[in-house]
Amino acid sequence: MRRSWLALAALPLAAAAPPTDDGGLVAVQAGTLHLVDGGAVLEDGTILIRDGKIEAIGTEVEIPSGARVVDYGPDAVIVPGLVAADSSYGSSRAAERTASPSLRALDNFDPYSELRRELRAGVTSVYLAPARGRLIAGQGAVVKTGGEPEDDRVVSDSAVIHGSISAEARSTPGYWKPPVPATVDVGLGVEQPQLPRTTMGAEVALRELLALVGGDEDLVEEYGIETGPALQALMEAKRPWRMGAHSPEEVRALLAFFAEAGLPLVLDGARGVDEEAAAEIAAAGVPVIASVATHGGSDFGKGPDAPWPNTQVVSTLAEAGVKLAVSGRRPGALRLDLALARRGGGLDETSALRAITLGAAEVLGVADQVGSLTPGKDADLAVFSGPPLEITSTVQATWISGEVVWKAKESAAVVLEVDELHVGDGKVLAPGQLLMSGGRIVEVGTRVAHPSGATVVRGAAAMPGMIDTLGYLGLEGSQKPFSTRFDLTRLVEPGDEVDRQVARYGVTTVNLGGRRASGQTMVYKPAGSDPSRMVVDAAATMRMKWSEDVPSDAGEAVRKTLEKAAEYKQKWEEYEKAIAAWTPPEPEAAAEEEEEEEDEDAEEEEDDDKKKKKKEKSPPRPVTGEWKGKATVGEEEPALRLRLLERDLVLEGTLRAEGLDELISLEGEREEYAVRLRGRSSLGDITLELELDEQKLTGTGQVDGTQGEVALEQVCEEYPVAKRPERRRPEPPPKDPKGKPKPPGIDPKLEPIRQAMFGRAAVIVEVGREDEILECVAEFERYGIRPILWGASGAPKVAGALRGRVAGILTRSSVVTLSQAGIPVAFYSQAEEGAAELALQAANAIASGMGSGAALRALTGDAARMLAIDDRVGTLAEGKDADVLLLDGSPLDISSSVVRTWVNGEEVR
Amino acid sequence: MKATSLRALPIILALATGVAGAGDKYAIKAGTVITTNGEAIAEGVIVMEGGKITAVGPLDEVKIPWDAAVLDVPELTAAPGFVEACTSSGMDRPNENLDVAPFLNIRDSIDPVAFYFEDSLRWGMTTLNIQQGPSCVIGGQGMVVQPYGLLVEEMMMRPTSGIVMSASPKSGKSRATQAQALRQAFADLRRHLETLVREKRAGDDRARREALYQGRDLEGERGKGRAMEGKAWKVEGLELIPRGEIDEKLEPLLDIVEGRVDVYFYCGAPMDVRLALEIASDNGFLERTILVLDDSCWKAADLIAEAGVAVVLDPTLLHRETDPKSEEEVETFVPGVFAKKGINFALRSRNTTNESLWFQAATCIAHGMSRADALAAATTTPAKMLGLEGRVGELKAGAEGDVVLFSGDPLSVTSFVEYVVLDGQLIYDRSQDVRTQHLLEGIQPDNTEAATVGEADAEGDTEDDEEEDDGEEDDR
Repeated sequence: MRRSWLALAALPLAAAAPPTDDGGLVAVQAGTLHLVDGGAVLEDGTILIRDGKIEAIGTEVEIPSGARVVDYGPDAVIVPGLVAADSSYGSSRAAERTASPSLRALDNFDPYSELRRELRAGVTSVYLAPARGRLIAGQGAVVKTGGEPEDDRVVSDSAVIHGSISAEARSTPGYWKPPVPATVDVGLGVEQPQLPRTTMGAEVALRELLALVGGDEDLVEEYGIETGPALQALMEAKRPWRMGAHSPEEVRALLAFFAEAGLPLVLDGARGVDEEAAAEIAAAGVPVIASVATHGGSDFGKGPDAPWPNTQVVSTLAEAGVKLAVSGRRPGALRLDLALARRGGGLDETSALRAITLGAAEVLGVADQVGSLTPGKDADLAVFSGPPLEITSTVQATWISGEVVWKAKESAAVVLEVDELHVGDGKVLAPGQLLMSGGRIVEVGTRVAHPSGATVVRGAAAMPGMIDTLGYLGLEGSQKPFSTRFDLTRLVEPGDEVDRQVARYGVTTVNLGGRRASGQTMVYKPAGSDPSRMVVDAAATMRMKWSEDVPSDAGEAVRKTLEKAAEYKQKWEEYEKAIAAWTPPEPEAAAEEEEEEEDEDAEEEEDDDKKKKKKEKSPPRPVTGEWKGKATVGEEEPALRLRLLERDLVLEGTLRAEGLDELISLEGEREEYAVRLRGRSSLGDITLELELDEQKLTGTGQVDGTQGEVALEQVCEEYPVAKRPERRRPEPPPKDPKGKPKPPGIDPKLEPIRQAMFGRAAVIVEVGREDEILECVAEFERYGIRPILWGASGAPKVAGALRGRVAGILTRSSVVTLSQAGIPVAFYSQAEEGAAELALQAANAIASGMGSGAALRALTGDAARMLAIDDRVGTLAEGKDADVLLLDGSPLDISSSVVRTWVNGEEVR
Repeated sequence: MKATSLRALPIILALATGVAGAGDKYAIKAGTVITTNGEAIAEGVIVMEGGKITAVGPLDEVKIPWDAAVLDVPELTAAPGFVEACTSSGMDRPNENLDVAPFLNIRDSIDPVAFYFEDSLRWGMTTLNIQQGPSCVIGGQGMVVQPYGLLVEEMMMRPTSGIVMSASPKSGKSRATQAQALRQAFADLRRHLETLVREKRAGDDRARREALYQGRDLEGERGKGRAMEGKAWKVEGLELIPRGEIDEKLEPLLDIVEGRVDVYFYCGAPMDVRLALEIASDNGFLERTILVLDDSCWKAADLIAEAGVAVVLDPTLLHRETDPKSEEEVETFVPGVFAKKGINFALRSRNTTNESLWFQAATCIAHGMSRADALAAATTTPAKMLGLEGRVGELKAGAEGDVVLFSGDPLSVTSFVEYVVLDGQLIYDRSQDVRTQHLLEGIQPDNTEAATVGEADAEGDTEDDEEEDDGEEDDR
């Protein structure tokens, strides 16, 4: 059973997998299609793709037999693959010349690599600049961001003449230096000054370039012999001039020049334009590739004239009616750039989407191939999880030429977007969103993170899974009472159809107890799929019965149990005190003791000797380590640093002496306290005769016959060389040392009550009349327990006295009164599959006057708090288990029903 | 002093073994003769005369001339020397900093006493195509040599063997500026030729005067004008121009366009293959193009197969990369890809000792290539590329008398090169190779001093020891 619904879950993913054999015919469907061309939006449309091109598109496209159908579902939105009109790809290395029209951006394009960042962002075509920083940098190209290298990934090998008259063009070298010829046949060339340095210089250079194309021989030397013909070829092919200009002056200069020359112009940047200049651009009919300047965190400039980025520039241009393409230099962040560009508000949704699709394609001259969902164009699609301009929408898949080139990783994360999110503690977020991942709720709020690949589910309302505070779901008809020693978790088994059915009605957590009113209960999630996460609390409550058949005996059993529990608790407290007071014996001392025990007989005499020595002087020891000190030679006192390594009484090491610029290698040996070292320095042979005394080495040193006193003190006991990581053997588990207090055993019958005394578990007491209730509550109060009362028919009469003294009351008769009196109540089914009707009980309560908010709390948050399981379930909060219900209406509305259920973040199907 | 004496070793060996000069007869009797053009011959004989092989065959079929010096080595295996298809070793430095320099000739850069040549003998490589390195746009002219001789002229097998071009950007260039420079080099040539023709027709003899001033040959057969033979483009009226009048700097490029010279085109990435093939076909030398590839270039194998050019493979035979989609490491056996597409490929060694040609061929066999194909990729295929088909890379009558005698299977890690015979002369004998003896057996060559261990080394050693000891102590 379980396997089959897992297979079902895998189905939609399988549908998106690449085809085997479909004859190049694919039908792609989604809830919304933005055609862009003409601003049309189709609901539930189909795109028919044949051999990588769009063949047909519409709501009533007939899907030919044999076509592969990929349906992204009603929430998905398909737009044309985004077109980035700018990018930082290609190379920034420009040619030496101020105008280098023969430089092709396409030569920098690697068809064997995919631009993953762009594919992930739904960008399918990008512009490649040939270079930057020249008046005419070369020819720009447009390429696809993905696809197989054998496929033609080139959209346009020579889209525009790329150049700039703005500040970047002024990085042109002031002089062009001809390369030194390698033979004497050719003389040294003459260095040519290069323009531009200013805007007017740029204009002069542009005029001269046109003259060069017109055949002016005098300019050949200045601009290079190949420049004229290359530019002429581009002009004959009617390539637009994509020129960078930012300030209104630069823009006006370009507009005037190109209007006069009658050449097609595309403005690149125009970041500093004002409304007036924008109007002039619109009047000239010149399109603009616009973006909002971002400085990547660097300063905007400190000077008084340093420009601040104009965040409204795109808006200004749009309002003036300029044809726009929007793109920063990071195509992967195209939608973010667009969102920034829309800040001024001048760009409505339709034109905004156009600015990163068809608008960009038109400006780059590739609108006949890409940019819109139009029959005949390349089947480049970006599939979004929601509205494409919402930056929280994520890309589900990217298609290029009819093939899926990128697909969001399958993620278990689910985002719920609902009109009302009922948290379970009375709070309501309207609208609200919830992100669950890894079985837990990660975030709850009005706008939550949308991780890539997350499934987005929209609906009317969401609430926590309901809690049945006492039920038999999972007992499969068994009437047997449980022994307190019975491990209830053994009943837990995933995959039961009835359990799932109940969960689909909204009950995700059940407090399972036997049919007798005593014994232990377990809180678990019957519809979970992972046994280790199904159990919420294996010993959630202890059930007791106050009322007895003989009224005078009422409460006796409970009293006795509580007394026993108190004793039991006492034992534990004593143990805890003892263990806190007990200090473990020093491990070293213990080791010594052991050693002594072993060696006592054999080495008694030696031991005595040792002890004597200990009194006089510490025993000799290895001298490994670093020693610092000085030597005294006549009046000089050079500082010394000695590093020694001792192994089997053999020494080696190094010596550094003040005033001697060398590292002297030493070797020697140690005998008891005497340390002898020999070495060779540039001054001659060195010998050291030292004696060890605790942390000191003192003695004499000789260098080439000169004698001196040496006194050293140990500063470190390690020989400073790179150490290998230590190999560790697994330590045997430590033996409990003698005298360590032993913990008292755990009594399964009393342990839950002890836990209840700390408020970590609950006790459910069956009790009836009001006097009994008060007596019972008082009895429990003595032990610091707030019990849950079950039955409690007399409770309404003493409600005032119970407030704050009980954890809650489980009853069916007087829920309304009690809840209005401020006492938490919860619902219970006392049934197996009947638990499915838990919500009906709540509805009944509402019908008889209970507040619907209180009823919802009683089903979720209050029930969880009562059973002390509110750390895991009961409310929709960060870190809690992802037990969530999606409803088709408000949960406060009786006519609403549960549409989908998640338990531990997995949907129950 | 020591170095020089060791480098002159082959010469000394030649004199010591008393083999007479070229023209004399020489015969090798070997236990196995691998010819690379058929089955191996057991108990074979190779007879050489005048530096050429005159007969190869089984002992009972081939007659050894009575006056031939005989190298009787029944325990050894004879094989043709390996052919290095393209290398920049043996030069003082591999790259020139001029972008376009087809007029350079490698002859001026080869160092005959470079250790590389001596080592080539030890690893059984007898034919080496030395070309400029890949950091250029159009490089100088290369040369095929044998690793023996005191002068470059003695080593020479083909005085010019192709010109290097690079489709990968040389340092300081982007791929676009590299491509631009390549295209412009040929555009410049065309413009120069057209200018010459135009000026000649206009009666201007500036080029002639320049040529006379430079002392170039205008009269001889080579100096005469002739019609251009370019396959892709031609300049009308070039027959009016004596070749001697053409700029020396550009003339080698004209040879390329006319298809007279092989071009070794370096491709450092698969994307470079497209550019290399574009430049080659646009200028009509596709047939004379050999691609020298990076290991990643197997991705462009389809393009290469379509163009029908031969390739020299990167020393890295296993290309590894992380697949961006699956994020798994993918390993590709590069020669396998080319073999499958039917592309002629030659192997290349990293250097003499590391991933040498025998190792490369053995690696190919380890990855499933047939022994014959693997051996061919290190012998006959590169020989064909170098225009030395039938002369080197195989043992047959008429081939150069270049024979290498191995102590076992030439592709085995345990085999040594015992003897090398070049042009019918014994020029290497392992028993006389003092350097190998010094390295392998610790024999100190005469008249040399034992290497003194520097102080730094000594201290380094002790520290190493100590490190180990530390570890031991920790264990205790």
